[in-house]
Amino acid sequence: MAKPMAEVGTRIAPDFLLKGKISGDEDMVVAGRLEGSLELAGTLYVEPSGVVKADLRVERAVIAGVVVGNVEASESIQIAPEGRVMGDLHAPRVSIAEGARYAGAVDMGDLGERGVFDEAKTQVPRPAARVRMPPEVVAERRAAPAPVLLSDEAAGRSRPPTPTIIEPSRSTVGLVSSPSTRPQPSENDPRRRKRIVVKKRS
Amino acid sequence: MAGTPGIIGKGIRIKGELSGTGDLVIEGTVEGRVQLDNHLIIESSGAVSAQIDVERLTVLGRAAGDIEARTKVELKASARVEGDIRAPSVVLEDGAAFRGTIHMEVGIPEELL
Amino acid sequence: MSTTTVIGASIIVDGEISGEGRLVVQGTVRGRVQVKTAVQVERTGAVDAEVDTDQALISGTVKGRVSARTRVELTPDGRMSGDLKAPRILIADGAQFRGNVDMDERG
Repeated sequence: MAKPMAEVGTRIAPDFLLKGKISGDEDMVVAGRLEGSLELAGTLYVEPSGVVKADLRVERAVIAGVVVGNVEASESIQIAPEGRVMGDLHAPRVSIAEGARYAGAVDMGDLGERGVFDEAKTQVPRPAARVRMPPEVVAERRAAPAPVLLSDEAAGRSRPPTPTIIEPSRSTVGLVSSPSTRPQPSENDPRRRKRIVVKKRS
Repeated sequence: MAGTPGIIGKGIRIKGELSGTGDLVIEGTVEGRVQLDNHLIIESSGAVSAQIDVERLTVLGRAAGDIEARTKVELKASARVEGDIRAPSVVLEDGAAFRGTIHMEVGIPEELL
Repeated sequence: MSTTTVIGASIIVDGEISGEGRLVVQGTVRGRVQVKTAVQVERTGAVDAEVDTDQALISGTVKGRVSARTRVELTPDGRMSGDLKAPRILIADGAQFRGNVDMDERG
């Protein structure tokens, strides 16, 4: 697939070595070898034949070859299936394809101050049908504990041998929607509604 | 040992150790340790803060901790994960949020190291 | 085409470039260039380096020593200051050159 010279842009051919401090304001394709440091206001493509031993600072990186070094991208880093990368990755978006090989530290920045488990700010998808249990019903249910559906064998038993007492995260209890993978009991089956024991904290 | 997976439903919170040989789907919250000889799926509503030691892991929700899988760890686009991941194959979908370290066997030529 | 390396207009290389095929320079290269087949410095190209190649075609700016096993050609846009060493040298009308020229094949 031959392109006119004017369209090729910057490209390091397979049998070439570029070593030193490299910078630029355009896209670059590395099909050969690059060593040192690279600062690019553009996209870096490392082809399967490409070998990069350098610290990289780019806008985007698409890596299908070998990279040993830290990669910092203002937009995204994508490791393609043939990519082999060792080094730290810093970018708001990072993807690692099936078949790619990677080792290092990843920082996407956006997990930020919130952290993964900041429940106050995170939206947990709510079940479609949500029923608020009246206090009388809740009290009634306290008398008959039910197991957590940890396996489908438990669903088969009418009374479990050891009930597990679960504390829900919120005081109101709602219908828990079941995923499609689980076989659905019939409409009138009492097992259909999952019962959860509400335990008051002492 | 396939068959239908066990499920920890939404709104359910577990503090402690979970272990087993079947597949498991977590839609609720688990804190502690999860050890599975099969596939663990953390659904989009799931939040797991634990040491995870499984055959295979697929994350669509939240996870924090040390993760070790014998075959593959996959972070889907909706995943938000923080921790240390060790597996022969780790896949990050575009959109997945991750902070931590990833260890796969990379196979870099000696002379580059 | 696969053995041609192109250094684009906005690229600056501070170091060395080596390879088997052809090198086309549209940007800036400082240091050392050792390219087996050919080195082509285009109009926007600026090379401040020691250059070793087979054939050199200069339409841009070159400062340094250029050694070519076959020939060196400076086109009308070419500007060079440094030494030229090649068995055949062509300096076109309009080109600018300042330096020594060694056409001795034995050197």
